[in-house]
Amino acid sequence: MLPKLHFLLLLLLKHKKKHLGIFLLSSLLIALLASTLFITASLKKDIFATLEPQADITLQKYQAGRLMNVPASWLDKALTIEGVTKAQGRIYGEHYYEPKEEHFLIVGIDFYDTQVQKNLQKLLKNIDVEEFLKRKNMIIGTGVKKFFDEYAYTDYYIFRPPDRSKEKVYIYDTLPQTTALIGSDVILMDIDEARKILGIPQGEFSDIILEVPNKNERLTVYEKLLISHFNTRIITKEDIQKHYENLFNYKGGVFMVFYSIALATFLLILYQRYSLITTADAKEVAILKSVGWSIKAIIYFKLAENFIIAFFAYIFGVIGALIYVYIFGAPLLRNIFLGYNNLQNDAAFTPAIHLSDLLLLFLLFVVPFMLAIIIPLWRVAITEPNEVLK
Amino acid sequence: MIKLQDLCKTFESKNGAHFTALHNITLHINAGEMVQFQGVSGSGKSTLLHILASLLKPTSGRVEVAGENIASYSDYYASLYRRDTVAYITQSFHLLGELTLTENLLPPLVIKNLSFKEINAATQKALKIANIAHKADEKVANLSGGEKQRAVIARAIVNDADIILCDEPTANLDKANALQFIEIIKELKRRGKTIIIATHDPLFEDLKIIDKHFMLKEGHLE
Amino acid sequence: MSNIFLSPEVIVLLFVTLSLAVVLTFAAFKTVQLLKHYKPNAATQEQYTLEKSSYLITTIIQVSLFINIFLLALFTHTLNSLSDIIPGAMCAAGVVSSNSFGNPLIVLKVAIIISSLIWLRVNKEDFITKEHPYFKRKYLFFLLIFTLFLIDTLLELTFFAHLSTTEPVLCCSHIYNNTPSSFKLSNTILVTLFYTLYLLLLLTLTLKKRLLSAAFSLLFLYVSYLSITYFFSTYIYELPTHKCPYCILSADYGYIGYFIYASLILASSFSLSASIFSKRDDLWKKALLWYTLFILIVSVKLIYYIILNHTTL
Repeated sequence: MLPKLHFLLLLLLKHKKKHLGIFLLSSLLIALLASTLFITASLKKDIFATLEPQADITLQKYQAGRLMNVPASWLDKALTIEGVTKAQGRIYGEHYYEPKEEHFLIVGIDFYDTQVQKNLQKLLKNIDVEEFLKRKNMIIGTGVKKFFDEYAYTDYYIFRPPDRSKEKVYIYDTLPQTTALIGSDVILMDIDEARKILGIPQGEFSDIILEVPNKNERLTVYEKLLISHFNTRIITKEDIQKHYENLFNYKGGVFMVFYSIALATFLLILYQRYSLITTADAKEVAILKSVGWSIKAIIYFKLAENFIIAFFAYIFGVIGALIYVYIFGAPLLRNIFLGYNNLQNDAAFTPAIHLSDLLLLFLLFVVPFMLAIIIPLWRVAITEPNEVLK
Repeated sequence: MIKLQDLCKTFESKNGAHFTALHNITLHINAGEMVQFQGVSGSGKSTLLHILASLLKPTSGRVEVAGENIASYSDYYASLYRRDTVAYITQSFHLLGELTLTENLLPPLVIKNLSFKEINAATQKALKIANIAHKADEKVANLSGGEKQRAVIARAIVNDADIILCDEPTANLDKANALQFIEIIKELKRRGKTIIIATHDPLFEDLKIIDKHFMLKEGHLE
Repeated sequence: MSNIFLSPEVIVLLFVTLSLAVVLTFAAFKTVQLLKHYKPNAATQEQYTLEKSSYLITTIIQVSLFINIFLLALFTHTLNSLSDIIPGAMCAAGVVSSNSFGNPLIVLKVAIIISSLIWLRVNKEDFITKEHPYFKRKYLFFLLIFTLFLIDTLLELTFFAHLSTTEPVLCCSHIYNNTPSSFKLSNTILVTLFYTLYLLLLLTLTLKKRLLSAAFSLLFLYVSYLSITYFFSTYIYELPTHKCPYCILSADYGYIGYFIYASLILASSFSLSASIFSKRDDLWKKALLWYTLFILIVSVKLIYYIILNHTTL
């Protein structure tokens, strides 16, 4: 076994000029795909981390094909369902800045709620609730900040509620960078203030969120909610996760489809390259045959040689991708994945490397590679030694 | 040990033309004998040796080596035959240039699933017999003509084959190296190998160690 | 539907499957040509060319069938990961049973793997025997496997096309708890049958009874599937109501499922190969070895439980 490996490496080094072009091209291709995988995985990880503290079940009112405000009575009714440990009404809505056609998402927060406080503490570290509530304050997302800075709204912004009044709200703080993905265009403010700006009357909420800590009970709660009210739309946390999962699969998948085309082209090049049988190749095969190598042995030896090339190109490409994505931040590729949002995103990529992703990549590349070279290698192996050995 | 029975070989070229290289060759060679095939180039000597080395299949006839008809061998068995039973030396020095002499001796041994220790032992022995052990780690491309020929011999005998086939082995050698070659061949004969040489080099003419002479003319045995 | 086809695992799976399909189709064409014109002892140029092409065909088949074996592992892994985006599915079981193509697909894949392993053995025997006695038969056998492979590819595409990310499916506890095992066998009968068959296999393999060991192997394959699903898996999950043949393949249980199924498939292939090449002692021995390994891996958790609790679930 070992002597064969030794001889294999000897021949490999002897052929290095022949293999170099293919090696570099392979590495590039793999680096490209690996980068895609790393970016997608990284984004998914961030999103799911942000999503985790989301509500277990969200209850909305859906009437005549539109989302309407939920009556407060639904809140009490929800609390009677077994398994529901907490029910809370939410206030949120879109605020439209007409001149620039930008949307902000205004989210009303009950600052006296301990859970909310906990979450905010995690996010903002030094929020003083007393201080915050002394006047009309808001916390804005990174994208909102960028927007406000552009239009010189540095201290406050004046909202225009439906009743045509003016609401001046001061900017208290900005959300941290890690929320950039889905919190970019969010504005957090006191719940009553949000009510005012969005024009949601007392006794109504935008929707109701429920806490159902026991995972196994969620399906039952879902069913009960469904039959208790007629015009409901019920969203579970799992649904949201699956939605985002699908979204990322979509973007990653489209890229993969294009990649497959690139791969197919590469395979054609590979096939052509190895189909060129030089006299040196024929001589080598003739020598091997004359000392007792069978055609089968020659074919498998060369397959092994090329497998090593493919393998090291893979390693090289993956390392290249790691550097490109996590050290340089994937300069050109990132726009494909982040450019679809409302406001510009600035997220850096958090490392998320899965073994299964790497194995997938390995299969996707190495298998077609090996299959494509079988015929060219066979052609070399069957060259007649007679003409050569004169 | 080697029996040829009505051996014929016809080559077909792409445009359908036929060329018969060997016509009904029948002969007998005993184990341990040294045999010379004489004849001008084109008389079919190389073809005959190729067939004996199982690098070529005859069109018809039997080629019996130690009782087995090697003409019916599949590629796998033919390769086993070439690996264990024959050694093949030609006039051109078919060596892997970028590798060292020792490394050039690996192909016949590596395919046998031997350990490093066994490979080293066989390599040392072959280099010694071929009188080229002092150039073991030299790159083959840097060797002289005579040294290259001895390298080829070393590779040919490293698997301890019983039959040694030589096709114009001295054609590219000067007289001194040719004589060295003959000395090595004598040593191999002394060790009991069956040696078949196809050559029209006059140096072989009066060698007493040659047991049989065969003359080939246009594919016919005279 | 498009969501399914854009998930990375499915893309890789389909790409590799289609690559194999292309390459094997080429090999099949060449095989038909070969079978038509092959004349074993003719010394013509045509014959030599055919002989050379047989090396190409054999290499393609060997490499492809080898890759195909790993593809089965990728397939089950894909099913597991699809359960993340198919509502209601907690593991591969939900995905497989979400449409009527799932179960036949699994059965077909296992059949192809076992046939491929047997083919590789037939090829080896043919290659090392001087007159190549199995030449024609092995290529005919390949054409059979190739047909199965084509059906498998089409079935797989159809299966994925009929998966939905919006329609909820059943999860494994629902499927296997509410649907009794075939023939409504109780667990006691099932397990007794399982171990009895193993002992019978031990007997027939040691005595080298060709027909009996082949028959028992096939029967054992089916009984093992049932036993694992309805009995042994509950000990691995440590939950009497969790009956599922797929969850044991997940990371949560240390991928033990792969070892269990791999040893069973290998054992079955060796046993069936031994029935064909009865003179090869090593095949009988290997079959015995892998069956025993399989029994050990499968029974480990059961024995552990019995020792700890002096009873069964």
